[in-house]
Amino acid sequence: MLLMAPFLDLESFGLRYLVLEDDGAPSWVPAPLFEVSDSRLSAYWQFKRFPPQGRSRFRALWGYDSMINDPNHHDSLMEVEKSAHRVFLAEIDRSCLAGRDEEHLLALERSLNR
Amino acid sequence: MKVIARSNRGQELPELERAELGYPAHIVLPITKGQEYGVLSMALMAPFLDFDYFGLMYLILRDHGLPGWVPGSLFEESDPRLSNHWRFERFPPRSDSPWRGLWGYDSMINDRSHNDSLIELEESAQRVFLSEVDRSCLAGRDEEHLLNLARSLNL
Repeated sequence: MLLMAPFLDLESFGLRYLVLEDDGAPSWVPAPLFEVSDSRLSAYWQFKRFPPQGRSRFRALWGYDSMINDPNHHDSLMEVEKSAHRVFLAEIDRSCLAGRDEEHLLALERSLNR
Repeated sequence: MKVIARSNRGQELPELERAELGYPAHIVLPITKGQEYGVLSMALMAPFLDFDYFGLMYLILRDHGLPGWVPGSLFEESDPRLSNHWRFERFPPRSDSPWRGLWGYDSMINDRSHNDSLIELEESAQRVFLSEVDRSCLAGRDEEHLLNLARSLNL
């Protein structure tokens, strides 16, 4: 879960969720497009707050270990780097998967083994 | 999650945040600079005056021993791990709630009246708080404060 600084649409308040989109790739989507169907958070999440005057457009981040503690992981994941996909596959909490997530993860694993 | 207080003074808060929270500059919060606190819930405030306002509040056991919300910007994270038992709720921008998001224990998320009752020091809410807070997140004097709270409730 990511909170971004307001940019264009101030009312959106920039809360985003990292989901496996329908093309199977992990991506950030605006929270207002969703309703919460299961409110339980992962047991393994960590939290990081960014200084308001810092260079990052992020204000706060909730997520798995490398998302919080590896400053390069987020950008690498968005740039579809295989090393970041491996970390993503190793660290995401499978108890939070829903819908077609499992299928997407299998496809992602297969693509990394090619 | 555990945090360390950077300051207990309202003047350390950005001016916008002080205005949003209605804090005077001279306010001194019941927390101690350098002291570690467990974060027992977390709230993202809805902006009231200015849409650029970003306010994360932490529910901690303040120095008088009672749970209360404090601005996250007065703290630094010392342990980023969130409770294993937290839940999340998002509030639509135009809802009546002062919050945009809420992270916390079961009743904080699922019982609409729990937070207000807790802040109004209702014993029933304090009992729920004592039974649901994640003890693995406690730090500093939190354990002592919880014991005192339990004693005051004859638990």
